[in-house]
Amino acid sequence: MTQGSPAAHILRLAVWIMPQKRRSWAAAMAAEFHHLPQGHMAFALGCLWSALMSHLTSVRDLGRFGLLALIGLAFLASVSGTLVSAAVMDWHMAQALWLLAWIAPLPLLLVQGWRQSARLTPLAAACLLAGGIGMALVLAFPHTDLAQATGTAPLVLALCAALALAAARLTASGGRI
Amino acid sequence: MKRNRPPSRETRKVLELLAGGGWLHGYEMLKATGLKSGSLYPILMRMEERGMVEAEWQEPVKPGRPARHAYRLTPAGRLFRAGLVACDVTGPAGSSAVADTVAATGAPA
Repeated sequence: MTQGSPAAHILRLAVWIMPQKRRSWAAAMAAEFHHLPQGHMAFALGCLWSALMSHLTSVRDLGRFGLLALIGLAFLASVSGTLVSAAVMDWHMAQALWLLAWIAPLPLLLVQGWRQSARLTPLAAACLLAGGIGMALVLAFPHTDLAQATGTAPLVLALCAALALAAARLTASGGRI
Repeated sequence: MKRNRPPSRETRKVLELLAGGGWLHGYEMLKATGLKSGSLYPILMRMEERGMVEAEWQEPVKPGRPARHAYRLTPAGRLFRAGLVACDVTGPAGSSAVADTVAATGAPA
């Protein structure tokens, strides 16, 4: 397997993404990669998945204030993203994009939840539900004053809160090994 | 609050494989368990963090290859696995054995 192969590039990306505290595991995966007789691409993709999941897992180490800070940062990023996207494109289109941003992480969370037999907290589930309904209403009636006034930001806040809570819950110490 | 849950099927596969004793490399474990690397390594990471698996770097057999990470169960991991087997044999009544094992090893299921 050459250093420039697509699988090798994906593996390097996985090593780069891996959280600092698990760098030794990234090195272990990278070393094992060179001993594989076949299946390099599947192995590299699995390593990339492991690295991404390690970040999700590390949310549990943040603690209450760290989690709140994460939610706050995500909220600020979301609001600024909404405002920027609304400035450069149609407001309705911006909201549609944020709906996509809402939906996209759900399969990841559901897969992770299924794999760990974990459940969303009622608060996270309520956030997801309320946010989804709210977004659907805003998209269904884009030209109403309410939709224009409320915009997407509050719903994105719910999204951020729900994702952070769900991630923390799914990877809490009660999750299965 | 920690909750004790039975380990997943994938984790049990890894436990059973490592229970054979000796050091195993990642590729050997992937082949033996049929798991993907995206499943195996997160399991190993969590098991190591919970003190059930130990890892060490081993020099390669073939020259020119990098050193490899190898894994084996710790005594706590063996105890945990024994508790699971006891639970399988005795049914729900044996769950206390797992609870005792978990309490003894500090390894939540």
